[in-house]
Amino acid sequence: MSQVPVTVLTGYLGAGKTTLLNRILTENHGKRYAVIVNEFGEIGIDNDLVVDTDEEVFEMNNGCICCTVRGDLIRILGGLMKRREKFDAILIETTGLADPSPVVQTFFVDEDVKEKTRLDSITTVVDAKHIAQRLRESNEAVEQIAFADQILLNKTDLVTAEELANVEKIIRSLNPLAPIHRTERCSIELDKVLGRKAFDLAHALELKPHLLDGDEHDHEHESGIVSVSLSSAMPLDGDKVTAWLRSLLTERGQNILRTKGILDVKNRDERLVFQAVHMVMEGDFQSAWKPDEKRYSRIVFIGRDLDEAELQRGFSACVA
Amino acid sequence: MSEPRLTNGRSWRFDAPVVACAYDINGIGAFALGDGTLRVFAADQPPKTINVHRGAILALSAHPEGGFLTGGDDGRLVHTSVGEPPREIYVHKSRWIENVAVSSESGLIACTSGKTAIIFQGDQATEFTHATTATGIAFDPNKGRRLAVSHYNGASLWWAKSATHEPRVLGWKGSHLSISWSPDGRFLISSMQENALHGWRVEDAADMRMSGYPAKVKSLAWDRRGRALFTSGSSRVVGWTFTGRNGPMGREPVEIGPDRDGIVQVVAAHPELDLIAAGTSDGAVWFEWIGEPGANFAMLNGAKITTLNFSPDGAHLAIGSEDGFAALVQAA
Repeated sequence: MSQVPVTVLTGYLGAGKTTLLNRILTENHGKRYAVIVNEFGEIGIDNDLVVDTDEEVFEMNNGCICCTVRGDLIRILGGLMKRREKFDAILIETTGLADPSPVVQTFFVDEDVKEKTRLDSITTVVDAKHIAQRLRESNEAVEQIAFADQILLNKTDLVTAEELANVEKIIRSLNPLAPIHRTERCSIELDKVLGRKAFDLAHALELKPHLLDGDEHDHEHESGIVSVSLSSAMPLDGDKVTAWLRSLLTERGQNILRTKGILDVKNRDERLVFQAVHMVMEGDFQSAWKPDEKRYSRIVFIGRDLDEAELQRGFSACVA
Repeated sequence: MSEPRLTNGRSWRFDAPVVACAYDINGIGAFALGDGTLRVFAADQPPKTINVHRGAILALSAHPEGGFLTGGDDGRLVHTSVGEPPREIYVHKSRWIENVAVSSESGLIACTSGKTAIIFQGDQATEFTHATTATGIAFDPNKGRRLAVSHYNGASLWWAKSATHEPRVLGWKGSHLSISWSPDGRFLISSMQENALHGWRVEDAADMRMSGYPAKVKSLAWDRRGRALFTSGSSRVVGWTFTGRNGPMGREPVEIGPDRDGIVQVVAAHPELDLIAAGTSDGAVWFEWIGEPGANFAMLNGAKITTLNFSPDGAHLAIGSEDGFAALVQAA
């Protein structure tokens, strides 16, 4: 049986997550969603497929200090699989204050979860009016944006065009990869939000970070979260680059939230596609470069206190 | 979907996953399904469908008074006797009942609901609350008046009589997913998130680690004399010796059965003979005599096996699988 797609919905309190969830649960879009929520009362819907849970973040005894998983999700996803035929996909709402890493790591670390489900995307709902202040007050609000595969920039009707442009700039400084969808009352075609395949390596054929223009490049957010984008037109040595990434993520994985890359490896016709969440990395050779395609390697790191010069040195040393 | 190959038995295909199987005190069997039904079977008749839960059944046990005790994701704990309408014992909407336990010695029954374990005695329900979710429960095998509850960072032992006393806590860092007493009540064994078992000697809380599994250990079966524990979680069945004061400490486990690609999911021990049955992730079921290498296959090419139960007289083995395939085969 195929793996069930799972969308993780994050966002600070009041950003509009509940509005979006209610839309997904009530609109006639031809798909059935099982929804795992934390604040049951907020969803005014009596539905067999809404499951209430308490977030239980557990440390794994596997020698990886930052490796935490959501024990409650492992149990609930296992339970939902017993009535697998009742729904097409799963949505997980995290509390406004949640750090997204344990949720995401659950999908990479637990064998049962990996067998039955696949992470489709981390979608973060952001309130255009209040996000700037939230980001100053809350580390979690920063991480929710840094982790996102896509961002719903909501309540755009409550701010001026100038404020909106400024908010987008802040978001871009934290996460240059995630597409931003501007919405009012979370009004967006749901198939733009769901079914993103953001973690599907076969789907990741290009990596186009939205980099800020020249002089703004060094304006790092006060949270210390930055992104570093590296590229090389020279083919890389496959063994060297793998070894470098492994040791880098082992040593610095606590500060590196997400990494994505598409690499041109010497003597290989296929591109090496990889991604990582903190220390947990997965990669694979995917579709071949086309004959007329410009072959080059690109890696984007999103993390805290990243040393761009050091990363560049490590990366350059991997050229074959 | 290819049909599994079955030797020597009857089979059915239900339209929901088989979650569990149990035989009640009168020898009547039941499969519990993901669609909330029990499929009750006796002798040579086809199984009878009883609608019990609104969603999936998550836990099943024989009720000490006959019939079956089930917990569901509709938040209900239900007693179903054949020929009578199902009777709801407890309900907490929006909280799943993920575990049930019974004691034939004391007649007590229990379930978990989130962080709470609840013991029922007559009309009285007593709640025992933990800091994290109660992931497994089991009554002590001697008098059945003490309940062990597994949770994050260890297990708690409660006396059924009162919820006011402090539990005895057996600590061990990490996520414990289920709990089982040795049949003599000397040891408690939990299965852990990290593909390992943890054990405590109840007398002095001495720790035991049983590790090296390639997968999570989801099924434990004590042999009929209580001298060994047979476990899933590897390509073969892994058996630990529990004779002597130290149990498995300092001893190598034994491995039973064929070394195949699939991982053993469920283990069952015969009630009267030295016979082990195992079901695998790739839909095989085999028997092997303890100490006599050489397996007999009862089934091949099915879906992941979810439950295996010998009938109380040891004549049959009930098999359930993830795709709704169920069978009754002759044991050995």
